[in-house]
Amino acid sequence: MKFSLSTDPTRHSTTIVAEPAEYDAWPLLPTIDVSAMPYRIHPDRAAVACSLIFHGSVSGSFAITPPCSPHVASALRAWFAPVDIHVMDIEFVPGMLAAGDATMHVSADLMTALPSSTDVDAHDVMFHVLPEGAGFLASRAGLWVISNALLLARDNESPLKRLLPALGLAILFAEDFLANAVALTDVDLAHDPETAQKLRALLDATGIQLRG
Amino acid sequence: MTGAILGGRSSAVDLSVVIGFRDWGLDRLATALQAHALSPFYDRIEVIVSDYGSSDPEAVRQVSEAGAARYCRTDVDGPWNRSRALNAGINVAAGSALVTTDCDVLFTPGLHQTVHDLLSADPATVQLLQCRDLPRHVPVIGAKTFDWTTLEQESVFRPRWGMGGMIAFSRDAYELIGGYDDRMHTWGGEDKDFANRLRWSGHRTSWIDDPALRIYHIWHESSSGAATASAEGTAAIEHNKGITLNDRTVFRRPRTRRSTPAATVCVATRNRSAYLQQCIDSILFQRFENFELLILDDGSTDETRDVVASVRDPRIRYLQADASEGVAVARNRLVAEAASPYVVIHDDDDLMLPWRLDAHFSALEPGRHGSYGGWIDFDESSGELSVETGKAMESAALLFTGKVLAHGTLMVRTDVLRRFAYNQDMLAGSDYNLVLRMTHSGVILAHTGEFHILRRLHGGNLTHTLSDHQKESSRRTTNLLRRRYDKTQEVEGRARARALKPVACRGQDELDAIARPYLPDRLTTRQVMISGLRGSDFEESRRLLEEGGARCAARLSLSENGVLGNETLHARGVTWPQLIQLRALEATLDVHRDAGDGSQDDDVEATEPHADAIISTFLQRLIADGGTPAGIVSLAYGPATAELAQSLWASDDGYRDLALVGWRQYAGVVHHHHDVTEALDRVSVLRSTPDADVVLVDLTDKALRLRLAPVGGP
Repeated sequence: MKFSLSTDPTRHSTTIVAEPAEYDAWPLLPTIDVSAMPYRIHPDRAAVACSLIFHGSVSGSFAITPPCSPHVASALRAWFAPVDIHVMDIEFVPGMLAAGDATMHVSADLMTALPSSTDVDAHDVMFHVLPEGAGFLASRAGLWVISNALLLARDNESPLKRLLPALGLAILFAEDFLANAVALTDVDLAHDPETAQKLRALLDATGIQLRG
Repeated sequence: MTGAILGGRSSAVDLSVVIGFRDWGLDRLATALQAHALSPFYDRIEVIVSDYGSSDPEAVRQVSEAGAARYCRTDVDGPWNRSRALNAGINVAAGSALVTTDCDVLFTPGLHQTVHDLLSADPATVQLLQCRDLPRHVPVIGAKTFDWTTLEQESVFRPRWGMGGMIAFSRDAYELIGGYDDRMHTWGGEDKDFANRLRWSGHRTSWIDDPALRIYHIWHESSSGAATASAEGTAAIEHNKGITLNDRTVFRRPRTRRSTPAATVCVATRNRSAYLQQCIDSILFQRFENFELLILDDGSTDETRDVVASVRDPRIRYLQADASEGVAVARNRLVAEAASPYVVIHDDDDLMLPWRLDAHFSALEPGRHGSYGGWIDFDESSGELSVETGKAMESAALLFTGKVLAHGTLMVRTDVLRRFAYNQDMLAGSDYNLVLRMTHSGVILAHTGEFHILRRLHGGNLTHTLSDHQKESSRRTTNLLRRRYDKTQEVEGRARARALKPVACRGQDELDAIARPYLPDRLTTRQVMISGLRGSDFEESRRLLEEGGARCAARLSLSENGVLGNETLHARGVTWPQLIQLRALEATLDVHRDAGDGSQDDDVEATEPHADAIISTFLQRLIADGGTPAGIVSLAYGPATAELAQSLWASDDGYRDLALVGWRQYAGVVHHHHDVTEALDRVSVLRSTPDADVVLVDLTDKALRLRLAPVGGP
């Protein structure tokens, strides 16, 4: 799969396009729109974000520009296993990841209410994705965006897997919110321990912890 | 083609292995079955041998059953068609995970369970395995056990090409694309084509790469080499390659009825029993027969239930709500109940044009989630037609202009519709809201270039009865989605919308010809040409039609070997119920508007020149082949036949007993009879002539029912 990310400063929006190659599935939606724009995206986090958003479609080649680090390339292979993937381009020059100490609470439930100040730690932020609507809401407490990425979730998947597209979007915005950890609202990681374990390793490669 | 299933085990099945077979070597088959039987997972597997026309089916059955496999037989006389063989096997398979393979492939024992587990963990994958070729000198034929280490060492890796050997997938995936393409035959291409279409429909390919999990190909002479040895084989391979390379449609399959429908036609209805019967008739008249018709009665208080109950068709499912909960709730329930991968939306007061389902599937290419078409409005009182072809799908066009797409012409993937669902809070306009939400989320709908429905205009249209609600909900939907556009984008979007031209639909300039035959009976008269009728179906159809008040005539055909027979039944004044009965026959129906005055003479006038041409050709051929026939009696003829007869009589060359008897006179015919009895007397005379080569072309009534009756010899 070949991925490309672009942002539109005029609309404050982001577009992610997945172009299938020889072994890939054609994604249900090859173009993902996000109604907000991250200001900084580290290549490693962009690669991991794409791998999460399109996790069910990738096989064979994995190409993204700018390229990711060797460490993340290895993590991606482990993440997609037993489906075999090959990261097509790797940046071997080391680069810094942004620091942070906040936890992003990721949710995609339409009925989730705006958090009160008692819901989360003062350092924590909410990241909430809605499938339909227009615009975004940004505050010190977090970010609410509209994206069709949620439609990539499949009915027969575990709740954890169904939340992966939303988590992928959260990873794109983690640096803006100085987050170094994510927590998944209303998802019990114990119900899908195999995916949780692989996800923990994948996120760890980009300096993000999976809480819960 | 007939099918039968025999033998096998009856325990619960998790994985079905289907082997296509036709005279490929019973020893190879027995060896492959033995390898399958060594799987520790074997009590959860069924192996099906799908025999596609082997010369000794009993021998194949015995080998299959000896190998604990189920045996499935398809009787055919055409070329080898692996797609059909595999489809036939899968049609009787019980597993939700499916493996297709060949009779010359050995599976290592752990492979079956691994394939099953991988598919269970991720049903949206296609599991493939690289084949390893065994050399000629490795003896595996007839083995009861296998030295897998030796096979690994002796075998040669085969590159990833053609996807042959083994391909595993879920049953849902198989149904989503309609199975293997059975237009492909003789050799090659079907696995590659199948895997491509699975990818297009959202299934990624995954190559199993584990030294402990192998498939080994038993050596034999090259099948492709054998196929290319003949011109027909080479042409078939090119034909298959052409499909693989050029056909971008996702769904393929014969359109005949199957146990699992390809599409669900969803009709929500409430108190419209007067229209529902016509709606159902038009749906059942589809050329594409592999669908279910799901009708949800949203709390009707009229005869809706009786109307549905009066239709005897196993494809109909009727659901009833105790009280009306609104059309959005009803439609969501229909989508939830759909048993097929595609939902076709159809309104209860509309009529479906007979090519609609075919058109939907023909437009499904990679990346498309559904398709739609044009619509033809008809006035319920006058039958007046007006046309809207629709426009190319563009989300901005849907927002900023009208007449792009009619909801009632849509087919959409069931899983996509379930993700979006109709907004149940809306009293009206939930259909427009759904389409806008889908298209603004990236759902791609393709125009088929065909008209899909006849939309009935009457006082009870929702657009009329809920007009204010409709407008209000439309405005709310539009105003919300407009917020996705900044000023510049809106200006550009409106410009694109204005620039969009209506899509050209087939037949838009000849509406009377393509649409009027399918209006309700009281608004039209129609004639039908029925061809391809077999045996007794011809007479049965004629009886059925005539009893229902239709007028029938037959057209003649002359086969290559000179046999004269019925070719086409021409019926006028055919009603919708009769159309449905005719659809049940294996015949081709050509429906036209009937512009004539309906008289019997019109039938004959239309048919006679054709009959005349056929008969004269027939006589010429008979004379040319037979030398000097002593007598021919034709009870039907026209100018061409008469002219031929006169030249024969004038030649005084042994054809003096050629007699023509007709029910209609033609100027210049000197020697004819008008009476059938007289003609039959003539036949009796000819029968008594020892050397006569006599053929009777028997016209038994004015409707040109002709048949060939050789009466030569004592």
